[in-house]
Amino acid sequence: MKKILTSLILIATLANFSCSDFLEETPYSQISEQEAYSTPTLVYINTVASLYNETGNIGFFGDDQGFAYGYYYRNQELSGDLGMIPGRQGDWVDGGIHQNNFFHGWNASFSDFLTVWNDIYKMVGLCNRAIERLQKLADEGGGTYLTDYIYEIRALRAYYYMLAVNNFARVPIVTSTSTAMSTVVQSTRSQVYEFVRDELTEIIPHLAAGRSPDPATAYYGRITQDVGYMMIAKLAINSPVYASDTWNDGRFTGGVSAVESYITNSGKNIKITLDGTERNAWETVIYCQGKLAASGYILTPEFRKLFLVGNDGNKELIWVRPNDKTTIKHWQSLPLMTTNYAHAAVIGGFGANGPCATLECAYLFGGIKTGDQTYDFSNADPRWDMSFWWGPLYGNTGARVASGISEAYNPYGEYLPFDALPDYNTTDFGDLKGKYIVKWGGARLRKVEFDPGSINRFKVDTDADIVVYRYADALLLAAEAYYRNGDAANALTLINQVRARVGATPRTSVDAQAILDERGLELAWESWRREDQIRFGTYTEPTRDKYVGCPHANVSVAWSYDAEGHTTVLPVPQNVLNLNTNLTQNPGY
Amino acid sequence: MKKHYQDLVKRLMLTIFLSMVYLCAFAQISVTGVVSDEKGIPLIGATVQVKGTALGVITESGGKFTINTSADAVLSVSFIGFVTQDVPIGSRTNIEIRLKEETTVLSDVVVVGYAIGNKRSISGAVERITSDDMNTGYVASPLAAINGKVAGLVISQNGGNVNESPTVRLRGLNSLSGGNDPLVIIDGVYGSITMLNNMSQQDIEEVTILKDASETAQYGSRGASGVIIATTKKGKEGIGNLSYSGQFGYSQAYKRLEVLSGAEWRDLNTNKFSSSGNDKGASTDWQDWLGNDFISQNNHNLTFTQGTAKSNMLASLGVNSKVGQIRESDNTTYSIRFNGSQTGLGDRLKLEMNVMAFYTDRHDPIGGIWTSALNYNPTFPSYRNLTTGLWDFDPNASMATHPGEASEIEDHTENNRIMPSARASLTIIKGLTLSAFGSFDQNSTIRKQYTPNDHYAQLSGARGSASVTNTFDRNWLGNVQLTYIKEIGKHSINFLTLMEGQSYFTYTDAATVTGFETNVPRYNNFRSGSSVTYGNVTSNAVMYNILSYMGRLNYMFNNKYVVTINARTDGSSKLGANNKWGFFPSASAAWLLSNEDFMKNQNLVSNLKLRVSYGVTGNQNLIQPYNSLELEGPSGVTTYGGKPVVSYAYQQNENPDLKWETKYTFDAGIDFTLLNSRINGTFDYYKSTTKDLLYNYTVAVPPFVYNRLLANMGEMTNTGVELALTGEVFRSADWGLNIGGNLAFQKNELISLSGTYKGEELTTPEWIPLVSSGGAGHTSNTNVTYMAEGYSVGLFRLPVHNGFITDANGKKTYDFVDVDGDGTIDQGDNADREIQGQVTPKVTASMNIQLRYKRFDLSTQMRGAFGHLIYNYTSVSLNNLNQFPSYNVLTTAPGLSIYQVIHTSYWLEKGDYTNVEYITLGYNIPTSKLKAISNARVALSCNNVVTFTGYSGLTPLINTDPLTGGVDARNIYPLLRTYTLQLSLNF
Repeated sequence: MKKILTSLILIATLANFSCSDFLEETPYSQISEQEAYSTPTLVYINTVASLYNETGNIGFFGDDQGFAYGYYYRNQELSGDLGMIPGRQGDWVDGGIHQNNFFHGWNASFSDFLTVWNDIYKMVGLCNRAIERLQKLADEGGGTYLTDYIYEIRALRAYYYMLAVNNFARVPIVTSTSTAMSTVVQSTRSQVYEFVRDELTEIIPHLAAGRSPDPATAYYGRITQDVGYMMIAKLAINSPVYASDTWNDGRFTGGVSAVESYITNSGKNIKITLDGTERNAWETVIYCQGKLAASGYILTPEFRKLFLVGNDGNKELIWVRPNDKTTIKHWQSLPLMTTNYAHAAVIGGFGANGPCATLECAYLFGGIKTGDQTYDFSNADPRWDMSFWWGPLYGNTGARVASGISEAYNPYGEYLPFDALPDYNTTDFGDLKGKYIVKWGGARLRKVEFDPGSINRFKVDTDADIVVYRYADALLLAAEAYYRNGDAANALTLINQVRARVGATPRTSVDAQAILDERGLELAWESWRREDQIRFGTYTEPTRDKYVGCPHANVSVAWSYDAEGHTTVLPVPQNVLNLNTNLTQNPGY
Repeated sequence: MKKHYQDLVKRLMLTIFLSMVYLCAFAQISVTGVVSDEKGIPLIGATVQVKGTALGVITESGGKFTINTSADAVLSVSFIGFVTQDVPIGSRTNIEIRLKEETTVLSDVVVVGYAIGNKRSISGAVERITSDDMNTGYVASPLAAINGKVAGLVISQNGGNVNESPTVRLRGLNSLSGGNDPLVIIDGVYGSITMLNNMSQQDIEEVTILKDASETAQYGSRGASGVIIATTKKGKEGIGNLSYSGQFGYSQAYKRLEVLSGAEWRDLNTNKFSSSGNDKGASTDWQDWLGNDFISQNNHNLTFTQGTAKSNMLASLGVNSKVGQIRESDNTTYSIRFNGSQTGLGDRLKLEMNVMAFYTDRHDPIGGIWTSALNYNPTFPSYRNLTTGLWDFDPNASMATHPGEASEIEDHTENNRIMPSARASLTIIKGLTLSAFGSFDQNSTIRKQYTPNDHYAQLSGARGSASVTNTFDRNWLGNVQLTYIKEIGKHSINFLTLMEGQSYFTYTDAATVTGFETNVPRYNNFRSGSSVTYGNVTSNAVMYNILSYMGRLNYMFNNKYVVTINARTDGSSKLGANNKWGFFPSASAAWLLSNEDFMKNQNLVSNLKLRVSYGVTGNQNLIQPYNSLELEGPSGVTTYGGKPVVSYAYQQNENPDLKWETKYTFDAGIDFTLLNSRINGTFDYYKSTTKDLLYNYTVAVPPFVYNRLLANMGEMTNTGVELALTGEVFRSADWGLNIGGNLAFQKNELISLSGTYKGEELTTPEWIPLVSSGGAGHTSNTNVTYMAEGYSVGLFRLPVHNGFITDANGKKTYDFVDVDGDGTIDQGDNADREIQGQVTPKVTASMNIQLRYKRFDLSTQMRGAFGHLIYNYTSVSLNNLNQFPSYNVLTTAPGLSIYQVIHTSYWLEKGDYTNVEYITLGYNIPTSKLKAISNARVALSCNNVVTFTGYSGLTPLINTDPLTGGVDARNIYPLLRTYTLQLSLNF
């Protein structure tokens, strides 16, 4: 018995070695929050810099390190009139999502929208975290630089709320990480607009001066005061849309002339107080463009160089996402997505044969139909060649592409059926038109190109910085603002400045249609088309590529006219509604 | 490390050599005799051994034997099912021995988790397979040796890929977090399914399967998915015994998919596709070209044992070599094992030591290679273009890898594993033993890959890519255990208490370098690659610990009533600060009805036991550490002060409330033995409920930053019935026939996947996709299987076939039923889809037959699974003429004339099958005239003889795990039929 007791005591003694440390976790590969903010350098890197590193999926052209290019971009550009993804002999049908995107045949279950929603609020959540951490350090007596960081991060958060109001209109405003789900409720579109306006007007005076696209400065890729002015110019130009809590009564549909007066008058009545002075929306845009001009932004001589390797520090660029191949900031997947397999192989890349320019796009740039399959682009806008691959194709060595099927992008689109099979019978393989056009139909984007030094299998890494804002856009926004504020002469001057840079013949007069067209020519496929078309009233209208009876994929909806305009606002994703029952769906869905 | 191995091998070889020297016998007289049962029926195969020596023979036909020994020797005669008898020789030279049948075979010692029990006193659902009961066909691993032997244990290999570990499920799916592999214990050390798949089957003495919570609760923290305990062979008393056993196998795929040949492709291309395809003029059968010509499987094991009453040792060497179906793929494992024991302090102290070491060398084909073999253009030559020196490539076939290029991509893995363990047991007083056990498991893997620089996609891109991944796993286990076994009158007590600590550490590093001008150095000199990208050189370290206390009491009264109580508490570092500990109790009771007085006067039932148990087990196995902590990880490179720096970011929603997933199991069973031990059977019913299911829930953004949160919320049940029967149909001197079989029904239901987290209601989407499948030209939602509340996990839910739509040109597309009646066909998760059936078989069954005639024996096993479906995506995608001529199609495609690839219930097929797993014909060679050999056996066997099934694809033997299985997606290798010659020798 004594031995039993001794043994039990022994066991009990051993048991006492079980110091609680044994079950404490020791992360080796990650660090705790305390460590992450332990020095001023770490504070900067892990709040400000870290947030810019997370800004992957959103904005012009670029995308996060995923294979499919930016979901946000896809809806901003390819739901408009200048680009689309047709079903290519069954390829790129993917359940009809691309065709539904082009036809506005989406619903609340459209997965792209969920991704965009989650990305926006992920950034909002990370910004909120960073602001709170910085505020705590500031309260504990940290340096004034902490307050500067807070302003900068609030500006970044405002940018994401601007994307949210632009896309989903009625969204929750969440500004703290400790928000309980029961308090996450939607604000009206005008409330979200006012939140962004108030944030930006408060923040801008506190932002640092500095040229964001210049790699030589400490502000490379960051939000400086100039970026702030461009942001508020974008907000102001769209404010008649954003400040309207009603959008499904036809006020944003019916074409350019139907919508013009509503937008113009509304903008005149919207007041924004910036740098101590109250101005209407159009005056605010003009004021911001003036600020940018004063900071030395110009139109640089070579249009194409804006987007290619070596665009670092280009004086036209206002905000870029710094990029390079060896640290892989953001992938640029558009060249991969748009080019045909055989063509990409010859120009030094990898093609997926996806999105192409529409027939509407070819017409906008000045293509003239001369025959059954022939068009004349000799008098087209100079930016046609600069922006798109079309016609017979050549490789980098000058050799013509021989694919075995065809060697020309048919840019005309007349024979480009929206979906090749099975609904469109002329695409039988016996029919040369069908055979050629399906795989080679539609001009392809050329603005961004493969980086010759790319080391990635799909050639999606590049040293070219991804452009978010550029000065030509600011000039065109100002032109529009002058025009809407009653000063057509100044509008014409600015438009012709932009045209002169590429050698296009000057316009002699200006109207709303001309401004929209000029934006299309200059900024084609730069992710602004959706909001521009909404503002000009053409987003829901039929085009040469979408109209009643247009052939389409059998898994997508048929095009139908959204006369009331509910598709100018995206649905709140169904999963978001399911997970938070406080939220309600936008009208029309 | 390598030096250690060399050392170990050297010492081992020396030991074996020295021991061989002792291997000599000296003969004095020759004794002959006959062994028979009580009725005088001769027993063939009985062991006649000279007591205290290794000298022994096996009785031949007529039960006869001859042995050379000394007159004062004692013969020990044994035979399974009979009481071993010691016979002094005296002056006799001819002896007749009648063995008494064992009235009960229930006294067998059984390893039940930490405890050593006996079959009689077990009150839980425990199954035991000894080496004699294991499969006899081509058996490459301990898992293959027990496949089909246990009701409710499903081992599913996904087609015929030798490099893929099978999926093992005991009583179905218990968790959604991935912790569904049964716990594997090898000689007290925590192992894994992979390890059990790599070991030499000849090293295994027996395998015990713990099914219900009565005993799995001993392993509280890890026991939720059942426990497989493997006990290796140990040294035996005797001068020395060397045995060899080997298998030489040759395999061939017995079914191929018929895709268009070069000529057929050309014909279709010309006649129907206006010659728009890329015809390179050759005719290549890519399946044939990619296949290895000679698929051989070799398996050899050499075991040496020797021992005395005080000490014994065993050393074994094994090699298991498999050539894969695909060119350049193979897998060779070398294993060495040593164990020894020594008693001291007048037998009060026992020291045991065990070392296992493995070296595995394997080459894997790249993923998707089989798909390419099926759909790559057959007119492309199977050699590099003589002019360009490159593989001709079709840029239009961007979703396929060129099979020629694929065959040149190297993927080489080497693995070193060493697992020493030791135990010291001290008997304090009779029946009271204190033991300490420690084990260490070091597992290091290096994986080296290289893609040549002159492949199509490499030429303009990476220009060659080399990568190396190193993984080091280091696991420590230590426990102290106190056991008390005592019989006082009618009371029998078996008490055990234990404290155990475990520590797991994993370190991984990986590097990828691209930009090679030459393919010579490959991964052997990373400096020959010109480009290194941030994020392509990585490392990671992870550690977690588990601390446990356990007590077990097994009490039996009057050989009739048994009660077992287990209580275990586990702490895991992975869980939230306030939830680290979980308590896992269990209780079971058994009634040995056959020992009651009222059962005495009958001969029908010799054993009847009723069992009932209830218990709780836990799971946190496969969740990653650090999920409960708020952490920041590297998120990218930025510039600060002109220098590149790395930023850190919050990367996942942390869950400080993370706790144990717990499973509550009820089990009731009957064990019976009838007709003088000729029929044995077991019947079990169980129902288990898993609560606080660990799952990566989708959560609302905002307020969460990320839309995933690992949390405990849902609930799931499993219900099942299992029946196993073995019967001795016939037995005589020359003939014997045994038939055994088992049957298991299993039903799973996901009760809920919602709950509250920090006071907030969290819900999941109605239909959660599990397995998706897509490919070139796929035109819709790629989800195939789902789970949803109220249904079993792993449901086929596809758009419903409604005939075909044929256009003016005779081209067909699939038509669908408008399930929700909204006028459009939508393939969305919540739209026009219907539940069609489940991934996991509802019923699994197995039957084996052993026939013996004199020295010959014939055995066979059949295994079947029923009540489930398989989605034949291979047919969907390879019957799609829309992708022709860029991709090849099946020979059936032109006739079907379908121009679409989309998910459709049309190709959902019944998965029922019965597979004849093996037929083995064995012969025990007479060895009485051979001095050096005491026992010799040869056998011929054929594995995967035939599969009876209505399934039209390559094989219905695919992964049927509810979370990951059910889809035949062009990537399943043909099943192999293997012919094996087996030889075993005892020296």
